[in-house]
Amino acid sequence: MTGIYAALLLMVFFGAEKLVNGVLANASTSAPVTMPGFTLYSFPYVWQNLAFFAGFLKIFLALIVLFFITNEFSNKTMRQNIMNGMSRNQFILSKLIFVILLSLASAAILFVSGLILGLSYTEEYTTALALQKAIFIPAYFLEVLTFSIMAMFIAFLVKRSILAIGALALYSYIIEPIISGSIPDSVAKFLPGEAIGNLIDIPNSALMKMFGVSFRENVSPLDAIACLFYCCLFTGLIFLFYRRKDI
Amino acid sequence: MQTPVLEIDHLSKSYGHIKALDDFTLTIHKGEVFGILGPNGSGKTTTLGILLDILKADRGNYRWFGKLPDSYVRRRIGALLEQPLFYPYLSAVRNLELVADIKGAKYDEIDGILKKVGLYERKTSKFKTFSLGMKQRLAIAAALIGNPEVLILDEPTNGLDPKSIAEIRNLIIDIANKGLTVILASHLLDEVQKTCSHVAILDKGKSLHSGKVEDVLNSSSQLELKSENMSILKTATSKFEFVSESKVEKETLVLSLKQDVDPAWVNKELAGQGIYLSHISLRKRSLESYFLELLSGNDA
Repeated sequence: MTGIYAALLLMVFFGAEKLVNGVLANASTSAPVTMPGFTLYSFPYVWQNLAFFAGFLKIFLALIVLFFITNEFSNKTMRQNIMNGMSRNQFILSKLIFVILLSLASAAILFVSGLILGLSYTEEYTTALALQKAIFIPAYFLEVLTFSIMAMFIAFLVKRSILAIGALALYSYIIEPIISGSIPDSVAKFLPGEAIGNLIDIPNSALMKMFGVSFRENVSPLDAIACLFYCCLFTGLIFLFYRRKDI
Repeated sequence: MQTPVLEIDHLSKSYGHIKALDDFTLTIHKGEVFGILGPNGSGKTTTLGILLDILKADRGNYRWFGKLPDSYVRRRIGALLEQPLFYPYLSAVRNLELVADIKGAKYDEIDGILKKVGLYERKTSKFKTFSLGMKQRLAIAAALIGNPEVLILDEPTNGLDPKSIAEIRNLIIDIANKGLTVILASHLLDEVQKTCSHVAILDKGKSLHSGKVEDVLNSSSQLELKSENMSILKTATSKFEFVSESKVEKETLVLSLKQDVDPAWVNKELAGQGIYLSHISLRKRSLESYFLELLSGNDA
């Protein structure tokens, strides 16, 4: 499953430009003005563009994490591992390390793909230009990490894979939208789902500029802090939850 | 005196309003093969679960080797609880390697252990392809990894065929002879009687009795008597102080004894009163009859 995820990620990275230009080419046949073809891959914009597209695939990563943990419950191997002499905290820590490594690997794929694409699609570049917006790599890491830790939290709480998937979907698509609709935007943007989503904004493309819309081209520290806070909160709650619980 | 291997001190645990374990106290010393005997749902697995930190007690505590429990102490214990638990998609040997990793044991003992439980030929097969008996053997193999000082076995012969049951029992006796401490939970009286040196009888979370198996078997046995005139015999024996209960079974008078008596003395005493016995025999009580006696007492 991890392999499928990596392949999907690469397909998105290397196919994104073709896809976008294809859509634009179709649109321009009927549009009164001709749309300019453009590249997603030039430095320094490549980082945000790729990170933004890769963000759509974080659900796969979350599912890997979710199955990885609910398996320990359905096979009762968590029980056995603790009987064999693991402490409860060690067990949770081992899962956390896996989640961190998985997110790091995903960010590494982003970095290498961005480097290859940027180098081959940018005509003139300096190291400074190439790395100008490289902040989107750690931001992307934080995005997938926070989402995966949220999935880990739900998996540890619910224990069964189907229920955990349901709970994750229920929260993301129903509960959080309802809550965010009923509280002010300034607070709602710090709900977990929103904070994760806001971390990397829609890239400003030539197309967006034509329509006069402008999105953030940087990472807001507040969003990053919110994500870090949720990482700590969810992890802390798991440790707390399993201090006195029967397994 | 040597530090006990395990001290259980007034453990209690409830699931909702069902008391699974009620003020359970027990001490186990090194080298004992300790049977925890009780019907299904009597609290055996709950007790073992608490001792292995997968269940949390409501009250009371326990000490392994004189120390408050932590994860390091569990690495000195090999355990098989209820059912074999392994990663189904990994091979037998890989699963045992994971156990060795946790216990800090070396991989080179794994082959020997697999041979001991008769799984060496299937060591590269995935766990999910194993039959119930093979899974059970692998679980016993896992419990033996890392030279444990204590072995906890919960219904170890569950689901095995008679030949395997005999093999596993011999294995337990072997292990016990090496000076290891074994804690064996079972609802099979025969199993406890055959393998254990000590026994605790548990029902509805309460400890009804605990002590040496031979004490249970020797003490308070029964005396069978037959004579021509049963009513005279009955009146005569009712004067004996060591009789706790007397009843007639199939024209035989059965006396339950509070303490051991010499049948020769009984014979002489009755002969002195002019009662000649046609049959006298001392019946050793089986663990089963004692067990059932205790349980019926606990129901009242």
